[in-house]
Amino acid sequence: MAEGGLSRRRLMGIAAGTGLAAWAAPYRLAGAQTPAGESPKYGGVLTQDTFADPPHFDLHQSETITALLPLAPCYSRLIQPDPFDVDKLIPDLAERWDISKDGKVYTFHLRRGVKFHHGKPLAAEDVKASWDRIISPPKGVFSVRKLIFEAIGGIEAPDAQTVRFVLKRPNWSLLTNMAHGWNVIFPKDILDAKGDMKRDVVGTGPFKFKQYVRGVSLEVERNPDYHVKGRPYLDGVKTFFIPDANTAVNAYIAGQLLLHEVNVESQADQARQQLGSRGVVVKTPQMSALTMELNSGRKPWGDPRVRQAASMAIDRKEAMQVMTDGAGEVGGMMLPTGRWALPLAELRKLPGYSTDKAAERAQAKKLLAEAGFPNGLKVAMTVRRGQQFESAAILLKDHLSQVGIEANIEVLETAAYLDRMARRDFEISGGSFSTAVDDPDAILGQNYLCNAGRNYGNMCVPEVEKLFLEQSQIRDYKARLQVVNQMERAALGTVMKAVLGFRVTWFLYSSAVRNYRPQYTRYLAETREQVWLARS
Amino acid sequence: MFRYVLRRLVATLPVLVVVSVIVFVIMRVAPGNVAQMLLSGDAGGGASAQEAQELNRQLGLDRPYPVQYVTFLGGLLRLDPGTSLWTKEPILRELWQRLPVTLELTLLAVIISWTIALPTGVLSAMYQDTWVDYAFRIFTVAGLAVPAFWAGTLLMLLLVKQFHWMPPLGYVSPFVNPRLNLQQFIGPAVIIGFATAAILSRITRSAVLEVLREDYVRTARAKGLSGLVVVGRHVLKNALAPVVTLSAVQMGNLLGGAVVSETIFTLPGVGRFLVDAILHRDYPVVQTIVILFAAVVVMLNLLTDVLYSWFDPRTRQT
Repeated sequence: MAEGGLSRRRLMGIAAGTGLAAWAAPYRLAGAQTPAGESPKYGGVLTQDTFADPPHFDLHQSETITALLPLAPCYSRLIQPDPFDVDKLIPDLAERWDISKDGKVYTFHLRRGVKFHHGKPLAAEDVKASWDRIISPPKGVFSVRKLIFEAIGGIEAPDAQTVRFVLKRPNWSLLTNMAHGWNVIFPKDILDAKGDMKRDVVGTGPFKFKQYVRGVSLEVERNPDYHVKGRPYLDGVKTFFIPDANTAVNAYIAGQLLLHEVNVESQADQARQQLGSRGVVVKTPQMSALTMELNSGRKPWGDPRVRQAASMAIDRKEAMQVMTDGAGEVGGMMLPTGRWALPLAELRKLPGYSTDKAAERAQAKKLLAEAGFPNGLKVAMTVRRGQQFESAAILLKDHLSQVGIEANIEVLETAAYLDRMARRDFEISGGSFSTAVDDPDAILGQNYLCNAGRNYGNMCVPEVEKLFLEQSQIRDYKARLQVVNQMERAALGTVMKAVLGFRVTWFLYSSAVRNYRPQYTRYLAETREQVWLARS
Repeated sequence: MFRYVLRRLVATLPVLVVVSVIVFVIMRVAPGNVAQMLLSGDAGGGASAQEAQELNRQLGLDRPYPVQYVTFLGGLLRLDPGTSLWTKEPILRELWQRLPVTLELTLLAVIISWTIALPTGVLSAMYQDTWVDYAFRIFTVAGLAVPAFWAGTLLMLLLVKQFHWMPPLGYVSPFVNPRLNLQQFIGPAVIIGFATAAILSRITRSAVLEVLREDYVRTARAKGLSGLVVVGRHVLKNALAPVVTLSAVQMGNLLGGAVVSETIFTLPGVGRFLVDAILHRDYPVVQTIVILFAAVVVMLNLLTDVLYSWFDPRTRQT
């Protein structure tokens, strides 16, 4: 564990026990991934890739990894996840923080001597301006994550080194969600002058913007004035934009990329065979679920019996075998390998998760008959273009047909698909959702609440709404877990979404890369502050 | 000739207007919109329809279609097609940055296709129905049969598997580092050039065969000139007219090939810009590039006709 870092669980424990002063000592990360006998070396440029150019540079208004990955090294947040274990929170611009006894006031004490890349010193006003923009964006600014922070009532900056978040109600996911990679601190003077950061990259991060060549790469260079002494180790980070997945894996094998990720096992195998000990392959479950969305606004999907029958038709084990080369994990709402997941034995009792598929499918047919479809029904299945989505759709069609649901697949390219989903103009859909962090507020708030953007099925379950508010305000982990589990049973029992399982990603990186550990999400710890290269 | 060229130039205007209307309508009819893409991200962020509507309003996409079309066309006439909806950058500036990449790729591909097509076509004709002819015909049919995206991927795989090497990522100008530039362009240029050479070689073969049967060729041979001299001096120039015509027409295909190759070989050219713009529903960018490509094809056809009349003075009369 990183020295001085606090896990969320411990943080809650401290807060619960003392009622105040959850604080964190200065942290030290080096060595956690460094083999014995090695000491960090300075120099070298880390090369990595993503599949497209960012549409703009304003991370508050962005939700694509194409923006976060190349720009994260330029920014800091108030607090950040430990890059070696993203479930632990460590200081970033806030060197320590206090939480009031009632859990409604969070006071952050800022580091001194922090400078933005354009030379201006960091002040509490910058933090306030950035966070005001996230929770209550001015006209013309689209804060895509503001719903996650609806508990925040206001932000104050009593002095230049202190920022206070005043909450409308306790929210014990607040710190976790604040640590998302998107919630970076922008300089107030540029926000005031330009209104957004779509064309400016000015932060307080370990690297400074160097060059952007549209369609090719974005390069950042070492920030000599970085506030953490001795960091970063790298001279720079260069992110290439490579739309073709085969080209990208070839570039990794050819040594042009030092860091790359693939979603297909055969590509990971190819890299493993070609590079041998010169490359590292790490398989990591991802906070990214494959789902079947059922639009309750379209008949007959408002009927819970029909939704349950559809969920029961799906053999999730086989689905994971086909969709993820057998590497994915069957799961419910929360990350199966995470600490909020419903135990597998519990999950098995919910519609669609039984191991006795024959019995469950027979039950599904009965439910359909009771709902008025003794001879089955015909449906339209909307699917996003892409190998993984299309192969998933074929499997879903096959499984649904086994209980009498005949699905007609309609494949749409991404733009058309997202448009239809946003307008809820579909019957059923083979989809997916990714969340930045394994946290009940984040996952439920974005996917399952009545007004959640990704509640594509338009399902509104009062019990889920009530339990959501309840769990969010519980300090004790075990007590909160009970409510989260209860909420998961309610959501999966009514089949708000039919969750099939969670994806796996293979992270490939050169054996020269040190102090890097792949995580279950790429949206939290991509600053590369601690990474160094054994050979440049 | 001047009046002929002028007449043809004037005739291109209605063609470009029709193209602009077609592309405008197709983009508006296609489902999806740029606002939803901007707000949702790659994971499908779930921006609401209302948020997308508000962003559409800011982008000016809520205005009536005729207003949008006339605004765009007016800008185009002033040589200012506006800004990209996706990046907010001026389209002309983006095009200006990417045009050299596509032009270099196209030029290299043309050189490679001629380098392959002329010798193989001429030799096939000279040695008609021998093993030489059959070998070149198989070679050129392969070029016709293999799609560029497949050949590009295979070439890349071969280089990586055998040599742990692939063309350097990105783009370096030939004026900055010619060697690196050549390494980046040779792969995609060969792929596109090979595909184009296939048709060109077959046309060259047919044209040379036709000319070889002319009386003046027989006379030249009767005078005792060697086969190569006959072909070089008397056959080639007369056989080139259809080859040049086809070559110019194929420039359109080359631009199409560039779309695929630029994506596989990560070259930031106009082709990749177009693909991205279509996927993002970046209407003004798509409209501008399609009209630009249409203008290029129309101009090339005009150039072909002019060249044709140079090769064959008889056509000037018509």
